[in-house]
Amino acid sequence: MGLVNGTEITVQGRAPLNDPVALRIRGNTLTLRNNEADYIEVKVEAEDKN
Amino acid sequence: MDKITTLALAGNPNAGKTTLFNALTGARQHVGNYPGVTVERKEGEYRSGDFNAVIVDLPGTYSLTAYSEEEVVARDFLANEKSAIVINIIDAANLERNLYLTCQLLELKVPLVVALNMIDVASDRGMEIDSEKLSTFLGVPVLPIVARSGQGLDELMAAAKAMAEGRLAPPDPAKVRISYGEDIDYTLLTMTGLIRDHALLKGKYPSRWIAIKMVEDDEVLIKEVNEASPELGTRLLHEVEIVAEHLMKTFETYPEAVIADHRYGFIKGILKRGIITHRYDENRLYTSDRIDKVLTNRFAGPLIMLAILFSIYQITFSLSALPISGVEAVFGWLGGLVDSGLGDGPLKSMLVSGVIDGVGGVLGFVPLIMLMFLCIAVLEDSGYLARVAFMMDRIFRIFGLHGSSVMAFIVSGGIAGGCAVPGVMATRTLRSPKERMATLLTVPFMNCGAKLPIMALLIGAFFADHKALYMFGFTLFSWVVALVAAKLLRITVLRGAPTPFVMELPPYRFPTFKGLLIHTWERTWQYIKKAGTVILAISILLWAMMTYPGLSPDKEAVFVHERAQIVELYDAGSESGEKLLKEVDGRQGAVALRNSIAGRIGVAMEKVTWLSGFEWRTNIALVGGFAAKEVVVSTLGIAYSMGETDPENVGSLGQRLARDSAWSPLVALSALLFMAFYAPCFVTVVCIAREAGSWKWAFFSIAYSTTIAFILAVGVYQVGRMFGF
Repeated sequence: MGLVNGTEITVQGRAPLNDPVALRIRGNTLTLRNNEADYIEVKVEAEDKN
Repeated sequence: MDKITTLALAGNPNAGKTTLFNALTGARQHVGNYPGVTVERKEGEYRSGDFNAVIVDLPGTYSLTAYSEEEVVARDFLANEKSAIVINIIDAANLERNLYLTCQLLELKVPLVVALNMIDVASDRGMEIDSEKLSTFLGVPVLPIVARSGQGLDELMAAAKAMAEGRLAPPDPAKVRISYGEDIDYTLLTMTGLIRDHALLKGKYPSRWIAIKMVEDDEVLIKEVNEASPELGTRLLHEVEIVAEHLMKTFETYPEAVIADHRYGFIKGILKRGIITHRYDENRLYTSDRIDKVLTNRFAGPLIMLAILFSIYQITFSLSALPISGVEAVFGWLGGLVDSGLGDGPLKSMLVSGVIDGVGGVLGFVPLIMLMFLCIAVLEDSGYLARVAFMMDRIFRIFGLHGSSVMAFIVSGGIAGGCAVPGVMATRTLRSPKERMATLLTVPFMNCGAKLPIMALLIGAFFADHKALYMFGFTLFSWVVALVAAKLLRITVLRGAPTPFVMELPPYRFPTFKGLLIHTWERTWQYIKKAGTVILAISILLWAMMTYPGLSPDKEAVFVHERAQIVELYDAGSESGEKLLKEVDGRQGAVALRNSIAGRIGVAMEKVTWLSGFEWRTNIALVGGFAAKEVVVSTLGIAYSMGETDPENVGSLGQRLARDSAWSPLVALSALLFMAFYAPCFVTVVCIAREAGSWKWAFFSIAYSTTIAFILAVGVYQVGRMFGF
């Protein structure tokens, strides 16, 4: 679904119970459970522009 | 003119395949803004000039690996129907991800036409897409369309026609020969050579495609290869092992990941060459995301969700009150007409008690059901239901279910007014067999549209002051029972680890008026159709069972004698005399009903059902309800109109029940509980058997739900009695 190396990911939001998490990838919103999202390795790029 | 082309619609979930399908065939398939609405493939006809085509709507898939059932269905179709032209519908606003499937379709070497859908949405987001350029890079026709409004469909079909007639050059495989990196490419080359030399699965899949899928560790395909040639399969798998080991050693990664990487690399490469121009910042928040900030907010989200669900009850109950009384009045008038127009006899009894009271009782709820369906359609089409799944997943996981189970629950009547049959089918989007089975077995506990009339009847008769509250309470309670039952199943017969929750949140879309109408009408019509066929037949059958055998001549003589005495004692037409006569009629009706086949069955069941406070007439209705839940209302209607003891004051069925000595608010509560949770209706049971793959589960479903229902009903009734209600 687009989760491959080098993709830019932003955390768009979290469900009311903190889990699952909604991620923004390639213009889509994808939801994953936290324990699944743990498998995503990220390199923090920059602080939010806002 | 005679040649019929097959056109297959393939694409990502929620890319608009079904919308396109409906636009092309004029069919009225169910479209939802929820990924995975189409699970089975559907077919329709398209005709324009001399071009005749059968259009097949394939389930939405992100790729062509055999990861889920949808993907297997889509892939099998594409592999087996070689002559079909594939229309790959892609969401223009999500080009990158949608093209992932396109790449695989190209590798499968199917004749392909790409429909670039929702260019209007893309353009609103400031994206301009150069479809001609894209077409050059992909080597297949790319046509911009808006499936919702029908824009560009003629051009799309013209291209498909040209492709079918061979006027368009087939895709050039060299253009889309994606390189998967040195290591994998080398392995693929060796494997392709082997496959070609042995003509493995020739004619079904292209040889390079087989090799790619094997490297991707596609279990279904590997099994197929091993069945075709176990020896070659071992050799090929050995090659895969070597490259996998090598990749693990050098890059610490799996071949699947490398392949996916390269596919995206290929897509990125194409898109970079000036296909998309952005007018705004690519990552800006769209309106949809801003709505989500509020609707899925940690604190406001759940409150808004409850408020939305509760307001649906308020809306449906307050708005439907007037039309319902209107429909009831029509049937009352009809009953009166038949009553006065026909002479006494079995025909009149059948028409009044069987047909009009039975079917009328069910049809009376059409306005309510229609409004309920309309509200659900709005939630579904707008994309809100997917958010509900997102917010509820954490809770569902506690009970061994899955966020995607939410959809099945809601379709079955989680917001009241669904149907367990599509709900049972909706479980197909669940990937884990255990979670799927648990969902399958618990969705019938939801308040389906057929249970609504019974609830409306009993709640209206006994708890009229708090109608919406009771209704809402019952719906919440049905969730509790379903979830607890699911948990019990998951720690007993269906033990197993949870599966990942991966779901897309589609952007909010404004529901189209046409879509809502189709949606609502489709479901309402099903309800009406059921009333006119199954329920009509069962009503007549039950009427017969409640009428025959009639009273024995000597028992009948007792009543005839009583009447004669009254006539003797009172002047003809005197008020008290008439009253007494009617009272005798009523008693005779009650005795006759008790003596009938159905009455005897109901009385026999009292031996058990006294525990839950059900008298024999209720028992008849509940047994009838196994055929279809709506029958409960119609049977109660027949049972209480036949055994009516006070004909002066007929009134509606609700009023009759409220007056009847066998009923009380406590009995009503017990009956409501039993009715809500006992065995699913016959049609649902058949569906469960089909979906679960065995009748064993279907019988299990009947047995365990009836047990739960009975325990609840008895518990409430006995405790209530103890406290003196």
